[in-house]
Amino acid sequence: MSIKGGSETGNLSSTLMEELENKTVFTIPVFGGIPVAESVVVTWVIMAVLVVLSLILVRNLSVENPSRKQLLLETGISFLQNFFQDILGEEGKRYIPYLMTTVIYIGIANIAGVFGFTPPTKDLNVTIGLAVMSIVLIEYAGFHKRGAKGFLKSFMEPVPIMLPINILEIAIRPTSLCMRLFGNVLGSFVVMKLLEFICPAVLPIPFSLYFDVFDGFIQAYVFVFLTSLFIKEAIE
Amino acid sequence: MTSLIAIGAAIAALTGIGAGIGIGIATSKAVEAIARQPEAEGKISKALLLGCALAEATAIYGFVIGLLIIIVLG
Amino acid sequence: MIQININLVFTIINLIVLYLLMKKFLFGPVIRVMEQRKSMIDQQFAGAKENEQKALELKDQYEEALKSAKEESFRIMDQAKGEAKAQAERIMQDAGAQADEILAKAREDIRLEQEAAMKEMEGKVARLALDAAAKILGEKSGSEQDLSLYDQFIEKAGDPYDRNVH
Repeated sequence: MSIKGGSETGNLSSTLMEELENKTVFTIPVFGGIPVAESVVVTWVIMAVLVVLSLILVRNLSVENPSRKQLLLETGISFLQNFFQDILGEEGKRYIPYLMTTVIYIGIANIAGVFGFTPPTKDLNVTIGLAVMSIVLIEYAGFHKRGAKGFLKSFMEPVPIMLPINILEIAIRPTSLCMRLFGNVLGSFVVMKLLEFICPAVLPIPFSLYFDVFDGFIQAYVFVFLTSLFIKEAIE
Repeated sequence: MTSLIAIGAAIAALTGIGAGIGIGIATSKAVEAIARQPEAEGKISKALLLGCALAEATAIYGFVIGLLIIIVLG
Repeated sequence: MIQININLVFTIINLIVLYLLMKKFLFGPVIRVMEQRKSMIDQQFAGAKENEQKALELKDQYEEALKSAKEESFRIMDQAKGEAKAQAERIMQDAGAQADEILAKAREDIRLEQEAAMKEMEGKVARLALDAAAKILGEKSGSEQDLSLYDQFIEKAGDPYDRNVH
């Protein structure tokens, strides 16, 4: 499977390959066994944490005199809301909650490495799932705005000869989205693993700050930014 | 065979050149723009981030293809 | 590592479930609260504006009332002044009339007294004349002398009441 250069290199590459492999946590014993990957389990953990956090945070919400915690929460949510509102405009308001969910999920998934979990976005299945959801949302937005006829017609714009390119775009956009996210997370994951081979103690911390935290948030931002740009283009 | 695979993966990794040059140019222009109009920093950095993400995508594609070469052929 | 399997479906289901959960538990309540606050603030603004309007109206009313009160007081003062003037005039007139009356009465009294005195004097003069006549008659008789004496007397006395004697 890998290059066998020597015992040391072979050891490193085989360990790396092992790390890169998506582990199956358990198998559901129906239909000959459905494997449930680690990424899905980590996603469940993230979901549980998010739901518990939001249950704690939205408790005792008050209109009259908000607490410091509530102010913080409202500031964060209105920041996200304004960010998407600026791009999408009034018509795209209904897609904002999904985009906010996505940015929170990707952000937390990307920095999951900091907490010792394997980032779910390292699994191609997760990024493909996100990209599929994005392209479904984009096309749905166009369909919802223009109706069936206008939606089909939009493939002929600006000139009918663009039809194949427009159809290709349906495939290219999510591929680009998912590969960007997947490649970034996988790349930073590999770099972090290599660094941990070299020096497991202090050295990975600043790199972890860059690769896990900064790059993770940037990629979450870019993912939803591009998705909302495409939605805006579809509903224009 | 393995050395050929390694060479192929290395060639795929050359996509990084393009991304590096692209991001470098974009950032230098953004810095110039900010120096000229410091008040428009927010908009400029937003556009820069988008441009960097798009330019970086090519490098990421190279990386993914390199990985594919190693894993699928290796 | 690069394999697409059933976990793709799981991921999509997870995402949809997460979206619904987040919408229900996080965004829904927070956005609702924010909108409630916004509407409350709007309402308060509207209320404040209304109150201000009311206050302005009230102020206008007060000013109007104050103005009319001032006018009223001026009017009353004018009236009082006029009445006082009229009364003073009436009093003056009355006083004048009374004074005239008193004066007239006094004149009348004086006249009456004068008359009475004149009458008395006349009587006295007549007697005196008679006495004088008797004296002259005692001395000498003659109508010529008598007449001249009378004339003489009259001349001396200077009385205009000669007609009464005739």
